[in-house]
Amino acid sequence: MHIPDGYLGPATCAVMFAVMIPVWYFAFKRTGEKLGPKEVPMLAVLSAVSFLVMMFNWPVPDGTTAHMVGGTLIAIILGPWAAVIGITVALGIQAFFFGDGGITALGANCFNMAFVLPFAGYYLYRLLEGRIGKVGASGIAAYIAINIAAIFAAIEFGVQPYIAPGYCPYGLNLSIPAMAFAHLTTAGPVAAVVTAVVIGYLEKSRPDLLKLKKIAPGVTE
Amino acid sequence: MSKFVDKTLAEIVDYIKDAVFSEEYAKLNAFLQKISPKVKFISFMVLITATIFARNVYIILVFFSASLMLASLSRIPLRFYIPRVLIFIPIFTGIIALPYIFNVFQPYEGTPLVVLHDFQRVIDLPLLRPFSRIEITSEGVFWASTFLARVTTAVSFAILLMLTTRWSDLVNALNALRFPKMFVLILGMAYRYIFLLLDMVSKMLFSRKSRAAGKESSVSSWKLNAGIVGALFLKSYDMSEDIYLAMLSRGFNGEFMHVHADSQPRRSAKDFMFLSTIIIFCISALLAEVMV
Repeated sequence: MHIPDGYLGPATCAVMFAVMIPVWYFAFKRTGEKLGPKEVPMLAVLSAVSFLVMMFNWPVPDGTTAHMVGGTLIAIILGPWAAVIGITVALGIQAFFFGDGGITALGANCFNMAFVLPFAGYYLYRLLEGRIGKVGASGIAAYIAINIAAIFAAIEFGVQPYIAPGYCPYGLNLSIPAMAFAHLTTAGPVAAVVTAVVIGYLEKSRPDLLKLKKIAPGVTE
Repeated sequence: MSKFVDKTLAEIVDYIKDAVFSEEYAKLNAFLQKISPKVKFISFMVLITATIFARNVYIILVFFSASLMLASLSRIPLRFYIPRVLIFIPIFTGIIALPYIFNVFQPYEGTPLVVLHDFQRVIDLPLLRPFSRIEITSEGVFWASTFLARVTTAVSFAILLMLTTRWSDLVNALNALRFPKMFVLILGMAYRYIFLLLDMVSKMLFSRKSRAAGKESSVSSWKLNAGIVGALFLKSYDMSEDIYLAMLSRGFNGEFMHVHADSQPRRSAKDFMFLSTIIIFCISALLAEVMV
């Protein structure tokens, strides 16, 4: 799902950065207020875990790549605002030191994976948690969230042939089905299984970890 | 797939070992090492952004030569630097660019370069253009190589910045440039954890491999990967608690300071000259592209 440099036209890159600036601002503000010193190393470790799970990727013809992100997992444990920071850090290291995901496309990649994905995952989890239990809810939330993020990525590079010729050559008719297919069938199930396995294990052996305070909109205490 | 994972992982571990080793070059007393980290960071951001706006393959090569020149000036042997830049390109960017060289994935008919297979009839698959042959087209190869060259050049600058700057100096530079404190703190810690966690993953994969015989089905390799991520998560959580206690015992109270912090920010004429040269170089290269 990492959009590389040269896939998005300059206008799209600029718009995505403009969208992310207020998101980052609020994420740092809220996290700075709420995150105790104890959770800081945890967020750093989760960010490193997210970095590593994103390394296991495979190509999507007519698209980019598919892999799990770990965003739903971080959002369930520490809340979506914390996930914004953790995944932004992971994406930044990948873009600068490994050439995985573009530097100019960092705004767009952060929007998809560090903003849309954890927020979608968090709210879906909250919605389902009471009805089907934590394990099922986390798996389904991770599955749907990664697909929503993939569709956003597909829309971003799929509109390029219409607005910025010379960049991504694939139109929406190819990009959306290609990305949706790969994430519905491969990355989605991986994300769902891994997230559910980890949440299931935590619920059994470390239930206290699921009760940490969440850094989310509307959570006040 | 599992072979691919093993290979990716082995390469990552090697890369990381190189990265630790490469503080060797950051300690040398050569050209880039003497530029203040703050100025160096800004200059390289300018270079990377300019590279990404370049669309002509020759202009991209000019940028790449500039990175090679800067590396030699900084006494980084090119036989170390070039492989270091190229190691991850095929894994992350190559796999995105590769499908595009084939006509079936291209949005319009191209000039065939190599015909791989001729079906003798038109094949109509959903989503793809109807095709009768699978061929590598020259347009596809040209697009893919320009794309790869651009990403390679951008990555070469990022790696050069890393090679010539100590990690702690870089983190301090980000701090001085007013990046959010929380971001800098988490970045600094996450970067170190990656080394440690990688080591853990490779040990887990290795121990599992040493106990497995025969060919593995893809379902079981999926289960393996899910299990490894789960175990990794739990181990790292326990580790984060230990680290928190270790930090507390050294007086951590939410604020932080890095070792080797610049005691007095140097603002020398040399830094200024370097930044202006870089900016002039980038502007003229991009102007040359518009004119060509």
